[in-house]
Amino acid sequence: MAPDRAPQVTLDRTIAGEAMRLYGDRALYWPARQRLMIADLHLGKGDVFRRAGISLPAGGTSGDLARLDRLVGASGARELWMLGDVLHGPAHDTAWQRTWRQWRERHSGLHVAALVGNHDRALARAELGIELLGEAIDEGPFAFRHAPEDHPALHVLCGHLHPCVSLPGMRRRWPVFWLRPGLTMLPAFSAFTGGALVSPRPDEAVAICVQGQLTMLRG
Amino acid sequence: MTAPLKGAPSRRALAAARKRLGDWFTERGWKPLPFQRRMWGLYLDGGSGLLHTPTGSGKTLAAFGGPLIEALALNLPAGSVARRTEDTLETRTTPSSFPRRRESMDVVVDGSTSMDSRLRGNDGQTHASAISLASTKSRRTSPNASLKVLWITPLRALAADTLRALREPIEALGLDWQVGLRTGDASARDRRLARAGRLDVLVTTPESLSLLLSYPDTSAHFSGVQCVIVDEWHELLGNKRGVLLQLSLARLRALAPALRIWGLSATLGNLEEARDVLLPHLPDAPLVAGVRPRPMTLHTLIPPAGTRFPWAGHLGLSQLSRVVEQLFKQRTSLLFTNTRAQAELWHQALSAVWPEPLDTLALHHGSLDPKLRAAAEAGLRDGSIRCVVATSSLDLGVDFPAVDQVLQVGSPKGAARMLQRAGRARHRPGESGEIVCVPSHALELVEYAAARRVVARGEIEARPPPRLSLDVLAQHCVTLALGGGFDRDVLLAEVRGTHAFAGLDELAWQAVLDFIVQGGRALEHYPDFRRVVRDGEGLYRVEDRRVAFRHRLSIGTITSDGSVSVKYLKGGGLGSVEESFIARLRPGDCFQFAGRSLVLVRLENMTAYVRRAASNDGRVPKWAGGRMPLSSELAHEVQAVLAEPDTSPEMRAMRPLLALQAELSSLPLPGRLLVETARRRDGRHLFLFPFAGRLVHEGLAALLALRWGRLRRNTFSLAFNDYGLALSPVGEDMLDELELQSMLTVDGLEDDLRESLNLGELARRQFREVARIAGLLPPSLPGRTPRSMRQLQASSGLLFDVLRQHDPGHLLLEQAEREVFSSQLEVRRLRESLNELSGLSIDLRTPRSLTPLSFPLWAESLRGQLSTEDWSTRVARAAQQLEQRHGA
Repeated sequence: MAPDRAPQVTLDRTIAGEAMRLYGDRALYWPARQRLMIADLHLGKGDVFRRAGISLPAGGTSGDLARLDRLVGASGARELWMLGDVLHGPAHDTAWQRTWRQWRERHSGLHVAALVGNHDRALARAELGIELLGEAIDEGPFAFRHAPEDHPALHVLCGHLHPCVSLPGMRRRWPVFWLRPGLTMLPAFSAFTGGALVSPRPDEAVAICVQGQLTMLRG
Repeated sequence: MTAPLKGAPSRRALAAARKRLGDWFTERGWKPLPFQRRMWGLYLDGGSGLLHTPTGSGKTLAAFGGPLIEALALNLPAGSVARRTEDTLETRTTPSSFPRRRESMDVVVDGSTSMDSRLRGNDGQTHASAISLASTKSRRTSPNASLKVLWITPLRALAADTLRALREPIEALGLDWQVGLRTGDASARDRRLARAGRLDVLVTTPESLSLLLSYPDTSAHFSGVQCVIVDEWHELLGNKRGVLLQLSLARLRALAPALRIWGLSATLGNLEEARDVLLPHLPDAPLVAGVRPRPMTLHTLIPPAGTRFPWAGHLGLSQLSRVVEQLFKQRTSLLFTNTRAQAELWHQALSAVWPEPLDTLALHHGSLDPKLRAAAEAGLRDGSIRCVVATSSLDLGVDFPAVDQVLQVGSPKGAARMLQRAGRARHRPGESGEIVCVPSHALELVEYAAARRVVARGEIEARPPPRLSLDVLAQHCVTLALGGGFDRDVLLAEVRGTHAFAGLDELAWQAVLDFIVQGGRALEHYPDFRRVVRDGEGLYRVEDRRVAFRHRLSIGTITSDGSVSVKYLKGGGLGSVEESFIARLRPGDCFQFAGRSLVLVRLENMTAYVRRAASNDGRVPKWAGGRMPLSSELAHEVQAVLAEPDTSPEMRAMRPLLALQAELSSLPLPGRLLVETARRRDGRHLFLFPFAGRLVHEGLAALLALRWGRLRRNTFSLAFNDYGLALSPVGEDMLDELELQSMLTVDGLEDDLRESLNLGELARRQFREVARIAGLLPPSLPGRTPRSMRQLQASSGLLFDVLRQHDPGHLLLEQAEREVFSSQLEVRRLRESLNELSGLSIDLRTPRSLTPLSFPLWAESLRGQLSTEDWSTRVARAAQQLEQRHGA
């Protein structure tokens, strides 16, 4: 028995007066600026684990970047903005750096910029071909931040929390876009991330990302 | 000391020493029991073995007597003149209560540590043990100072009492032995002494023993160990803690080949196997029978006729006033519950109506701060506490001569557990054990009647030992790599000497080594992975200090969810709760814990700071792993009792309910499989009652859902208990009798289960334990997560997904699946059940309402889901239902 509302790969939604597109692959697209936005990529998380003696197979980073490939292609983005926590830990010269550089070369025409998140202490010195935007930047109706904050006038776009929901009868949790009045929080882009459970209030909604598809849940 | 301690004592000395021990028994008004004498004789002849006897029958002295006699014989040579050397000096006068001590009152004080500082470091111990320290020798400079007896106990709660029980004869006999503790609760001083081997007798747990083996300097001290006593072996036999101990014992046997190993066990269904697992190197080791188990009488607090008694539930609080009445019929009581949450709730409920000062009521469970637990134990012992509400943390060993009666709230779970708990009261040989049962719902009356019959027939459950737990082996290998390194082939031979790994093949062994050295598969080294390395001589070692630190923190196989310690703002620990519970609270929220109402003030660094709450409400934390299934023996007996109710008081009380079951549907009759269908507002349900135990029902539910979903693609909610299982499809679909019959086939069982595992996520759940044991999950440390570890937080589910995607053949994934098959689903029993079920005729009923049998399953609601649909369809539907529910 299928539910009435079928999940979709993208969802179009007006945020702060701007036409925006949500991708089930955990990205937000701003057509007017041809800008793709993601949060919490946590590059090198697997390497941090491996260096500490926790055996984790490589491949997580390439999986995330392959998804990013598809998103850049499908959206036609000319810019990629990362809303903080590009890195997970120190930027040693390890496997993920090579993977990232190859990805960057393939997308040399793409302008890549990033806000500095709490995990990004090593980002400035890492030379990853990413323009640094500092900790906050305002543009149009939006205030771009890494962590959520109240803004008196602008609509905040942020990441940081890795918002997730759990649903009755299922043990898993799913990453979501948390759509609140005055704030939109992106799901963590990296597949290898946990998250904080959120539950939408009556004036809020979440867009649940499941296997590349989106389902809306209103509070 | 001039005379060497090594070498065998003479026969005459041994005879004199035996007499000394016998005299001490006489002084106490005791007489050595025949099995105690037999144990001493076997030990003195160099033997190992397994003693099975009920708790409280003198097993401690039966096992410890041998080492005591041997030590006495060496220490007190014929002539009984105490040896003096130039560097000994008398320090204390003899306390009058220990008249025999004089013969060995020599105390050597070396220059480096004064007696005072040693006593100051002795925090957390009783006055009595402080005296014993002062009266025993400091032997750190003696070349003979070495560990002689290792006493291994499964529960930290037992260790303190064991320590006391061992010190008593040591003091009374005037032996110059130091006894110390090395458990998670041990004082810093004891840990230091244990590590340095400066104790003669060490009381420890399997995990702490493993930790000691991780220090290169410590393992050398084990070469002098003469005797290992494994207390409560039945508690370890059937789980991975026991596997860890098997490995550690193999190590000890290699370090000290003449080692004598004795297991102490309660009665078990598989005693010979229990011996073979403990002593795989001695196939003909003696199995010593202690005293016969006492007859057990089981009473039930039967709800008065005509009262409304719930059909389901787990609290039993409707019986509160009758329980209080029962408690005050006797001086002191133990009230056992099956889970920690239930213990908290009962303590809270009893507090509200307690007619005496509240400090006469106490709580005891494994998540409480050791100090709180010790206070409850001490209160029981000195009689200042009337009632302790306890979980299995008080099941074992400790003798409480002051306890007058034992109550059991809720399901008996198994015959062995009832015997064990009944045995807690009035420990004097010959008296019968009594247990008063407090049902929390109607069907538990049947369970009590069934338990009485199983116990009367002398049927005790077997505890099958796990095999090839590669996660435990991986942990052990890292431990030994830390503890000085190991050679591949030497260790393989040693490991194969255990019961658990006797069948370890070369391939699996290489996979374990690859896992700890390379991270994963042999051909592909995980980039930048480092844990264990092979040094120039080919020895496997740990060289990274961070790896060493993290491994020592995580040694142990008891898995716990991330635990958060609970502390008062002003200081003072209360214990720990699971992270998932505390994460749902906000500052200012109330909760119940450690028998107190608390307000969460703030949460930082894995510590919840709290203060006392004025109000008496708030949630009670739940801990994972609390749901223990009914033993299959008991489940089968329940069916037998239901089919032919006997005249026990429990079954007489059940008559109205059974009549209702028969009227609405049918009683489960021999030769037939009772099946009920029901339509409720929340959808349609199919109930089956095979009475095969919860684990088998869980597997059966997944299997049937998969087969049904193949017939017609759908998502099913599953529920299962010890009597049966429920399948609730989305929508209107229902099976007819023929369809159901065709699904109850053994054909394709394993393949179907494997497929349903993929869908049903059982392996993903099981992986948590496997990952933690094998060191994939960083240990969660209450109150002190080191900075270096904060970046390593990940859930087992995430790790599982990453491995599944990028290294699908990983040995730990296979381990998790194997465990789901063998221990969780008990596929062997599932196959037997299916064979049995396919031969039964289906008794399909459509009662007009839920029945006494189906209601508890329905009330279990969602225990899990199995789907042949994809995740996004299911999430979309769940989201839609949630919105509708909120909109309504």
